Amino acid sequence: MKSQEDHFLEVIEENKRLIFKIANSYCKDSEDRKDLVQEIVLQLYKAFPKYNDTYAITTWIYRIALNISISFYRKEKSRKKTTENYKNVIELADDSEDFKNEQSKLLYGFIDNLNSIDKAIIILFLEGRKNKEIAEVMGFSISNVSTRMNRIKSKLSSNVKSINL
Amino acid sequence: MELNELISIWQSGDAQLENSLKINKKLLKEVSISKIKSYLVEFKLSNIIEIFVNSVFMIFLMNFIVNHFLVLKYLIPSVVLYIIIAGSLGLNIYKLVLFYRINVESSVIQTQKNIERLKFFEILDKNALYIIIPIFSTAFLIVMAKAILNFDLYQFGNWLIIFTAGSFVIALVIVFVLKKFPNRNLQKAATFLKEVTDMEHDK
Repeated sequence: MKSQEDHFLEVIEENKRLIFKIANSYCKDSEDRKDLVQEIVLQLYKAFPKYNDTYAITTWIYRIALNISISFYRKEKSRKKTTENYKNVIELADDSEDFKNEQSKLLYGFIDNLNSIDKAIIILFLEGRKNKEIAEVMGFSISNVSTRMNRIKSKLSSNVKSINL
Repeated sequence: MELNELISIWQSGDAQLENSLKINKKLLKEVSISKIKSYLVEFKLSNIIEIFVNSVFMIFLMNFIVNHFLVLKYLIPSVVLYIIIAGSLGLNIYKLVLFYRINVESSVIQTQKNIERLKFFEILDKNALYIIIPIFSTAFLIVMAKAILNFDLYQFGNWLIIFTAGSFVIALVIVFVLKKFPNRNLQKAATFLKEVTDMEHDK
């Protein structure tokens, strides 16, 4: 019989990409990112015994990972001065070993310029989540998610055009 | 670039992430025993200590009020102290309630609102202390001198008047400074709280 620890590791193994992608989107510094991933895993581990299947496991993971990341991001943001948008893209390019191609860097650069809530919404969208699940994770109504998504999409589109890809 | 392309770029990151993915029993053990310095944990501890200290002080004050009920010169400062401490205790309890309402499994908006509200009251409480302490100090000295040393501080009437006046001036200066240079973190917390609430009602 599987222990709870094994079951937890299995769930994490299946969904670890989500955790790393969220951590990557909210934290640029590789050392801080390790701390953030650890904190997310710790909070998931603590909450795991209470998990019930009212929500899908991915919804549960997204909620915890995003809540921890947004709080971490807001704490970090007040500690470190935010740099200019352009510089952010360059730093991402220099710092990240995980995403080496140019388009990924640009995409992360755009995401980085969004506020913490919109950032969460676009991550969920890019992960292929439907508006209903995004609404469940975020605590918005479905119509609210659609409105916000349209705004983010047009912001992203105009950014892409301005870079002239 | 189309949105579909953005999605495929995003998803192509999966393969590149593979090398850095190491969530295993070792990490699990590390995180379970590591004391992650979360501001929320520090907050909880300091708040519980404050509640304990304030409760003990309120019991002491209640006892002092009962013993000096008919002596107006001691009754007034002890009642002033009692009101200040009761207010502070009420705020501490409210903050603890907010703390226990925070649940990382809840929706992002709800959790972020609770965290930010808690942060807001925490900073507000600290700011209020700068003003309360000078006002609090005269009453505190009169009550403690009487309770611990059985000493009547009113004997030094002139000194007491100057001290009280000085304390009020200090409090006024602090109010002015706080208004002129409001705490940035408090403003940030309030702004974020407003943003999140607005987003929630945005249709």
